[in-house]
Formats: sequence, structure tokens, C-alpha cells
Amino acid sequence: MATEPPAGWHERMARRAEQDPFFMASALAAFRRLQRLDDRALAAFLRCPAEMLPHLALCRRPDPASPRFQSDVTQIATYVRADPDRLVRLLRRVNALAALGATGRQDLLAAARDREEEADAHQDTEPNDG
Amino acid sequence: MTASDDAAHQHAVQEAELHRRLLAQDPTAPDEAAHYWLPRLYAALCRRNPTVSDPHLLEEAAETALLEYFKNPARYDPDRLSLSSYLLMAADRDLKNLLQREARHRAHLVPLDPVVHGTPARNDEQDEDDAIALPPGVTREQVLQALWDKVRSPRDREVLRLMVVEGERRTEVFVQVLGIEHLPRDAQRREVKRVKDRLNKMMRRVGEGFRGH
Repeated sequence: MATEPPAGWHERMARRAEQDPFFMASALAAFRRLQRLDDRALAAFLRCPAEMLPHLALCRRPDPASPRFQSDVTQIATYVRADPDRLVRLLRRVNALAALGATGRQDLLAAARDREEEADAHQDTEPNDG
Repeated sequence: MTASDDAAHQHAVQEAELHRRLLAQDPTAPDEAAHYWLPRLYAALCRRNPTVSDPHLLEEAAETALLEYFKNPARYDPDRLSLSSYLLMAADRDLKNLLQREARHRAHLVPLDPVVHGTPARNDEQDEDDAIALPPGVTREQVLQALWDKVRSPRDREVLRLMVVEGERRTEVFVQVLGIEHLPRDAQRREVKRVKDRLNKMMRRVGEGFRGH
């Protein structure tokens, strides 16, 4: 019997971690749903190579209430070669969604997102909200 | 010190350092530890369970043990046993659970006559094209058992289970399983249909194989 794990284990493990708020995978999955993104668009938003997404997914999800939040985000961003500001933005949006606690309130988030995008208009293209 | 002693020492140092970082809540430590441990744990699990032929079950068990360890590294007591033994013990336990779950799945399969559909529990929106068409004389149970190992994705397996075992036809149920609640309704239906069509096609192929024997 071959004793190498089947190819693609990293991606599958990352997908499994989506169910657990301990991992960044949960935030990435929530953001993907919220913004209706595929992996390539998500990587473009984070300005990181798409192949780094499974690495990012298996990182510990930084706690915004923790004093080490910013340093954790910076460390993760460096690790996966992502834009730390985009990573913070992703986490804030996902955490805001969780705080609202219901998908029925997504209209509020969408409005907030629209305002944020207007402010970001001078920056790189935002993911399409569909 | 021999070369193998040296390598073993280096591994021990690396393992201890990763463990320390997990305890310290280092945010990138889980991914780094996954890359260090998953291949080792998978190989050890294969050696311990030579009769288990499904590599994805072995992988899932190793992953489950590791994900749990990353969340709760303090549960490991280094005074009692080595970390590799601790992880192998956990993965072995998870594998046994998975095997039991698989056995339960198979035991609860309802042998249905071919092309006979279960009555939906509620009269909700259904996909009108989800008929399971099998060759005469081939049961769904036969096909499902043959197909189970070919379908790797947990979501596809759940869709398959719902279709064949539960006789589920409500689109909304599949939408939840596929995690596509965010899509517009038409897109949801198209995606559900696409997945079910693909699985139906696989079932028909497997069914033809049965008939050919």
C-alpha cells in the first residue's frame, strides 16, 4: 500500500476546516459566500497567489478582540504573501456578518460594503458582488 | 551519533518547536504542523491498518486527529507518550469511528427497486429531472455500494446518500448540502441539477457494469 497521502490532501483538509471557526478557512468560506467569489477571485482580493489559499485556510483565525490581532494578521499575511490590509478587511466583514447573526441582515452588510467600495474606488478592483 | 540518530534528533526538535508554537497560539503553526505531520501520520496509520484499502478514509482520520490537536495542543501530555504516538492513537480512534460510520451507512441502505422513486416528505420545490434511471435488474443499493468509493467529495457523498438512501428530492435540502444558499434561486437549481446529473450519470455507468457481468 502506498503510504503517501492522496494528492490534494491539503486542499481537502482546508475545506474540512471551513466548518470550524478556529481556522481561517471558516472566514474564507464565509467571505466567499458573502461576496460570491471563487478561489481565484478570493486570491485576487487578498492579493496573494491562489496556491497559498490552503495554507491561509489552515492558519489560526485571529481574534479581533485580542491585543495580538494586528500582529497575527501581519504574520499570516507575510506567510501567505497576502495584503495584510485586505486580510483585515476580510476578517472585519466576516466578523460583522457573524455579529449580525443572520443572513437576513445581509442587506445591511451589502450597504456597508457599497459604501466601503466607494471609498476604495481609487484602489484595485474589488470582487464583484454579483 | 549516527546519521539516523541525528535525523531523529532533528525531527524531535522540530516537533517540539511546532508543539510549542501551537501552545503559544502562533497563527501559522497549524498549517506548518499539518505539512510536517500529515504525511507521517498517514503513513503510520496505513502501516497500523493494512486492511483498510480506502486512502481517503485514512486521510480523513489523520486530518481529523490533526485538526483536533491544532485546536487543543494542551491535551497532549508529553510525560505520558511521544507526540507521534499520541497523534497515531487519536487518528486510529478516528479511523475506527469512520469505519463504523461507513458500516452503518451500508447497513441502512434501503434496497429499492430500480427506477422507483421515494415519495417526497413534503411537497416542496423539487428538481423535476432527478430521476434515478438504472438498468433492469440492478438495485440502487448495488449501485450505491459500488459507487461510494468512487465519489470522494464529502458533499457529493452526502448528495448521493440523500438521493439514494433518503429518496430526498427537495432542492432546498441539496442547496444546503452544497453550501450555495447565497446564489440566486435559478442558479441554485442549476447547480443542484448539475451535481445530481453528474452523480446520476456515474450511477448509470456503474449500473451498466453490473448488467454486463
